[in-house]
Amino acid sequence: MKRRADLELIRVVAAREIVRQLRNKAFWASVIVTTAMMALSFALTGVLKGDGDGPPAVGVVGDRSTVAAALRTDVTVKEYPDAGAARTAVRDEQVDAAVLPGGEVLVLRRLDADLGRVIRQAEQTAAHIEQLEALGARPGQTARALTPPALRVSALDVDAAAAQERTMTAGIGVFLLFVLMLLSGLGIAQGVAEEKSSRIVEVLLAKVRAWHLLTGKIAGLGAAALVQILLMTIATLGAAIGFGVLTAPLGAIGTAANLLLWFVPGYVLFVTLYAVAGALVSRQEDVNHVIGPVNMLQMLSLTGPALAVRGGADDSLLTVVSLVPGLSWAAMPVRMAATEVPWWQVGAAFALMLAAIAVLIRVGGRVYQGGLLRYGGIVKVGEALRGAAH
Amino acid sequence: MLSFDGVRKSFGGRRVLDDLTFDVRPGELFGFCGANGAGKTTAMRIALGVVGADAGAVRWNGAEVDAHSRRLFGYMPEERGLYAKMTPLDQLVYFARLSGVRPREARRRAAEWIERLGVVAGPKDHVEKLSLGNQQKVQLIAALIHDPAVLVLDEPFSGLDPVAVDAMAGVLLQCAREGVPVVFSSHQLELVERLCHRVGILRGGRLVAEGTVSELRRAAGPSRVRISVRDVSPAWARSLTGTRVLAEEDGLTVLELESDRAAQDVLATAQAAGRVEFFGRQEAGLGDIFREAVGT
Repeated sequence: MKRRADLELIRVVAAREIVRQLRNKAFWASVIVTTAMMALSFALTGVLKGDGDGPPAVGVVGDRSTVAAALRTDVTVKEYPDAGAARTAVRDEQVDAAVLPGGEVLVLRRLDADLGRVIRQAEQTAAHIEQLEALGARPGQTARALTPPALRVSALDVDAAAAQERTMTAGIGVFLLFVLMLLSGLGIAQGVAEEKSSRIVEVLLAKVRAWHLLTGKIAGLGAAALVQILLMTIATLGAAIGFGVLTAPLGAIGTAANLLLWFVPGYVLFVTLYAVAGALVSRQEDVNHVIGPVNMLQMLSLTGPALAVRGGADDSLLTVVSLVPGLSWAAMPVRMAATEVPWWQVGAAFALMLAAIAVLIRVGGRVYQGGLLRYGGIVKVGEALRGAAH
Repeated sequence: MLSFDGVRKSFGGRRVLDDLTFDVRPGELFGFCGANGAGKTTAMRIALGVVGADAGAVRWNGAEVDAHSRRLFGYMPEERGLYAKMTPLDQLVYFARLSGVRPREARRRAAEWIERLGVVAGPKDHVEKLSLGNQQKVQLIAALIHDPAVLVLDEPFSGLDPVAVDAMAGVLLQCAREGVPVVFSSHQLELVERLCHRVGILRGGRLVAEGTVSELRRAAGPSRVRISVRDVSPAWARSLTGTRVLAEEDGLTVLELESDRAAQDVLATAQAAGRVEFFGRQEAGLGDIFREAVGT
């Protein structure tokens, strides 16, 4: 019965926070702006990738079938009846370069060095074939003899590209979640300070316990943040798949799910710290002073993703960072995306995180309770703890 | 019945409440008076569990007040607190929900109280747009919306205009008539005297006087009479026995009496001496009693 009453109170507090967030224009603005920025970056990536991805195209003018044949092994060849047509094609960027009858090469701005080498080699090959044929060789034989066989490539780590894509996805995801956590944290700290500075807290504490308030706030803001994350993830992944930036969308969805799994305890940890910080000030203007250390700690959690994205997935520093509570929420999922992580390390990191949350909620809850009814400047943590004892 | 039973509280070595003991009976309006810093707010905060007592207890119907029984209390703190960016209706529904009222019922009651107390606000107006008087009304509704079994109000009348004071007083009297024990603090002593069934005066954390205003008056000292007599010598009252002349001015004499019997003697003597124009008891006001009790 008591537990049900507790849950009901937490639900009422959480519901107010959710409604407040969903009615907040800044909440929706951050969803729209982030999604739009991601979609734009994917669109740009798609356009740039489209430009440089396929083989270059070279126009060939007149009866240059030998040159065209020699070029075909490396580039796309388009044939034009005269120099004018080739010139138009170059200007319209239908081809990267055009080879004119006299051997002259026409480009829009400058000739890419690799393409230049390919054209020069094709011209040489064509010249050799023509010389050999003039000496009596049969056309088919000369072409075969002078065309090198295609390279046989064996990749030792075929998964590397996918792993890199996963790591990048995880890195970007962690950064987005980091920003979201920062905004939620600031929101909760300001909300707590507002309740304290406007003395509403006195009315509230006459009706509910401090831990009802704290838990309700964390749950409510967390639920609102999850709605935000879900919308952003759907929109961002949709845009990424739509623009063809992701080659393995299923892998990205798996990575996103894993990120979310680690985000939840990380969120609880940091948001509790922000709420406790908010309870230490008497005026909203002082919020920025007290959240500084929490900000710093949160910044530190970006170390892991930075190490993993830089390519140090097997780094021992990254291993340590991915196990430390407060840092592991960001480091572990990115590390897991980049490389195979022993299961015991995953389990240990999660267990340590949960243990840290349990301790934090116990101690932080007392600081929160003690801080709420103490006024005058910034309340010291020890003073708040002593206050909670009364 | 709400009972304070030997409540003690110190802040940083300074004793704020010292063995505070008094009862507020069902249907009683109890006025809590005291100079600033006497401990009124701390006592009320302890009753609501906002601050813990060092010793003693606050009881509700004999059982120590706990989180569950506290939810039946209505509380209006001295420092008014409302969410600036919420409408009065949403705010009141939220407070009612925290006291266990179902959502539909909470909405109905909030709308009813807003109407009853005449809170002037548009349906989408946030509290920050309301006048201070209207904010105060919303704050009172927050204390009443869950039909509290006990009402604890810290300075509910401060900052209200006379019309709003009457409205607030009407609500408190109505609550008392319904059997709710109501305790409120105030510096407006004439209001306390007019409304309250009983009064407690706090000094330095101790209750130095408690009772009905008449009881306090009796306890405050001998009764006084004012008498105006024409056609007598100016010093006619000096010869009276069992009395002391406190003031003589413009034919009006104020006498302190040693007993009620003396009043009759005074009147008889005055009538024999001249023409009595006025004779009446001079009641000590709560203000006089208060000043005497707190020693100013």
